[in-house]
Amino acid sequence: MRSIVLYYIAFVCFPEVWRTATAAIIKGDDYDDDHFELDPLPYTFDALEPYISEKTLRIHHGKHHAKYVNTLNSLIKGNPEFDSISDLVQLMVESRESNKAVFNNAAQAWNHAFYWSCMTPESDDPPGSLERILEESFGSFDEFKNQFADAGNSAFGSGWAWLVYDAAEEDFFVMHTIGADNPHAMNRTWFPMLTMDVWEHAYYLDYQNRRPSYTSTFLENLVNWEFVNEKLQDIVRDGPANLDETENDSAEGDEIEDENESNAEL
Amino acid sequence: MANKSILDSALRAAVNVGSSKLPTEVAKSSAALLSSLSETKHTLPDLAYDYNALEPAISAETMTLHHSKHHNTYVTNLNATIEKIDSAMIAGDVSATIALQGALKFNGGGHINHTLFWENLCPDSKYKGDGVLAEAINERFGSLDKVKAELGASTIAVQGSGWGWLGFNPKTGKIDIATLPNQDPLEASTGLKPLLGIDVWEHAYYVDYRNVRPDYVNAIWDIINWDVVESRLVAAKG
Repeated sequence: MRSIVLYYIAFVCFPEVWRTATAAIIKGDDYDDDHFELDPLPYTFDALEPYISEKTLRIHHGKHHAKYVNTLNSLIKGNPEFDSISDLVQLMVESRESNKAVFNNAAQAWNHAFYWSCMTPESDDPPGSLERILEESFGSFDEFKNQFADAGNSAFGSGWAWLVYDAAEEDFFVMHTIGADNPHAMNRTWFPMLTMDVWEHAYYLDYQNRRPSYTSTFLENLVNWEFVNEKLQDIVRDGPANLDETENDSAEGDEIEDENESNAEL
Repeated sequence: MANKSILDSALRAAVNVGSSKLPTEVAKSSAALLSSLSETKHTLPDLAYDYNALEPAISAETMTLHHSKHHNTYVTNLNATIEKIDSAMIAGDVSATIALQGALKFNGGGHINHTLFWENLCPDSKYKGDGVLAEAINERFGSLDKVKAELGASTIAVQGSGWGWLGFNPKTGKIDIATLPNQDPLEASTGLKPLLGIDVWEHAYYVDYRNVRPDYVNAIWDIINWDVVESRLVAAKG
């Protein structure tokens, strides 16, 4: 009852507060009662067979990803610097320089959630519009795939391969990060469009030491090109919005407006 | 053998003298000749025990993959990298030489680290309560249990891929704990002389322990070759 009254008061007296509270509620499926939650996979554990086994997904999601989320929650609880932040992206960005432990877990929580969305059991040929956009940046779609595969294969040790949109250059590029690192946390004008986990736990049970085999299988058989294409088309058309994949709530709308304003000044 | 090493040195001297850029074909064949003449082509060392000897701490399946695939790949890629570096040096291409340093550190480090690792494991681990090693441990840590606790904790806490080490610090004369990422080799990176290494790349334990790295590190104490650790310390102290 009290929260309803407070909500009403916020709505009437403090529109900003209301908007933020609403955004938090809309995003409620991954943040609730001061802690982050592990979202379920967008598909069943056996959905990516034979490319990624059920065994791998159960451990990768239910142990590795879950541990990052749980550890993050226990680290930020009662920590005045971080415990009021309900947005995982913001937490990741703000902790990168100041708190390695928080950053590692926040970034890995985000990276893994994004990785699951980048895959689908119904991977199809990429839409023509996607190929055309990537042709502009890479010369050809195959060249993009080669660079992405190289980024994954050449990362020494644990890390991630990324397709990134550079909002400052209005261009796409491929990179790899080490450990938990995330392109947007490194540079606020960079926005991830596609990622592939190359920590050994992502592929060891299925591919052992044959990382290149996993990398090419990922590109040929697993990528959710529809999802990637939507992100690409949105960002090229509208400019960078909130990094999170959630619905267009009003907070996100404001951010786009501000973006356009500052672009106009340039 | 003597002739080989004379020719080897002569060739290497020629390489280093050469500031004139040789044609690429000549450079490449010189590098290939150099590598085949040189006694520095690296090979995968044999283990002192069978693949199943370290069970149950480490399974035969892991040992087979880890030794014959992972370590072997480091050796192969190390040799290939050295050949490329030779070629770049002969051609006087400093930029290309520098560009190859990452691959050298990774594959060279991988070869060094894994060679050390196999040697500091054995099927029947025995720790002498006295001697040079025990003395150093007691002085620095108090007891073997304390070493296990501290080294164990540091090693478990490595983020992503890397190694935990017990090393000898030649400057202080004491033993120390260090952790390093990826395949960064201990001595080249920190000056510490390696005594005991624990591999915590996921490939070292994933088949047997899945994500539960602490269980692997706790189990590895059962198969540490303390005799080898001690002989390394004796050698390091000089």
